[in-house]
Amino acid sequence: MATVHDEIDNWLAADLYGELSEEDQRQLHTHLVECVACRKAHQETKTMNKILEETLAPQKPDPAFEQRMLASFRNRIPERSGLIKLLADLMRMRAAQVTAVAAVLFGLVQLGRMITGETATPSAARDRYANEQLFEQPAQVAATSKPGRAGTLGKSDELAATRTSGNVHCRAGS
Amino acid sequence: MSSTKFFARNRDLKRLGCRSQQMDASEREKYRAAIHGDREAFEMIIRTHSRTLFAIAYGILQNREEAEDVVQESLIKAWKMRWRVRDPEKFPGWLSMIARHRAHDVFRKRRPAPVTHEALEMSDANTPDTLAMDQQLLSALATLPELHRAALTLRYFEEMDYRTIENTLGLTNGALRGILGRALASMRKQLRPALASTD
Repeated sequence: MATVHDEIDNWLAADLYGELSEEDQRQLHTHLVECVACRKAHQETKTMNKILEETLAPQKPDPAFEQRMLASFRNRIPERSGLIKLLADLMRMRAAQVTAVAAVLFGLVQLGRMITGETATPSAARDRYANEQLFEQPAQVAATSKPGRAGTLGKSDELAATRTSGNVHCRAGS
Repeated sequence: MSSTKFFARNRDLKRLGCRSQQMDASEREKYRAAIHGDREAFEMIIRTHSRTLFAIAYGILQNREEAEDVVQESLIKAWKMRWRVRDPEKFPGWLSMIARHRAHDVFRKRRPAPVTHEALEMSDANTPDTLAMDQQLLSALATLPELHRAALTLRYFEEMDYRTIENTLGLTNGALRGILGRALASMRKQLRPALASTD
């Protein structure tokens, strides 16, 4: 465990700035009575503190300092009009930022739909349609499918038919 | 409150797991309002914190004009960037950090001051003359690390206690004890001949 002598610099600084408890002060002063070197350091520290106080006192800011800082702030950041200020402050809030990003994304999706002409199909209806197609017999599929149909819907019909016939073959095999 | 009682109270609070410098509700509200763009609240912060910022900047730069410029620029930057602070309790520390970084930048960009003949004479003289002593003391101060200088000026300009200086400079609990101990010891060694002549 470090003794007062080992950490005399920290002890002297804490004593100087009134950061020692009464017990610590007693401990330090008991050591200073016993140790010449630390006593000398203590005396030097006290003298230096006095000079530091005298030297740094004139460097402190004058009484008008805060007013100067305020005036400079007001000059460089003039107050904005109500609406601009409200919008600017709003855009700095996390919730407003998230909402703005979500609105932009939603707008982009809508724009994409308008360009491609695709309409939003409810997912439940889409699944029901897929299931119906899946459980239809290949013959029925063949009967209902028209040769002239093309595009993605025609292809998905073919795909469903292939899968169903594949399932039937597998069951027959097993 | 006497300093001894204060230190003892600090210890008790530490033992109980409390922070002695916990921000009260009104103060917290003031920082929160400033973060949300309340100019009046921010101007109140300028009034209460500009001297602390000056002490930090002066500690690093040891030049009043430059330190004042640093405080002005730090306050402007803080206003523009205030929305970055999520926790109002961290606002004072964040403000001090801006001033420290700005002062550090100015210090780095600064040209080394030419050493005048008079200054050399003053430092060599070792006379007990007050002016020479002041000059030597400021020279000794200049040799300390930036953080040590800032801690010392906060103590001498604002008479802050250890805990407040630690909070202002964002130091961990107990770090300041060693910093100030080392800073004073280093200055004492440099000034020993001059100190001996003043006894």
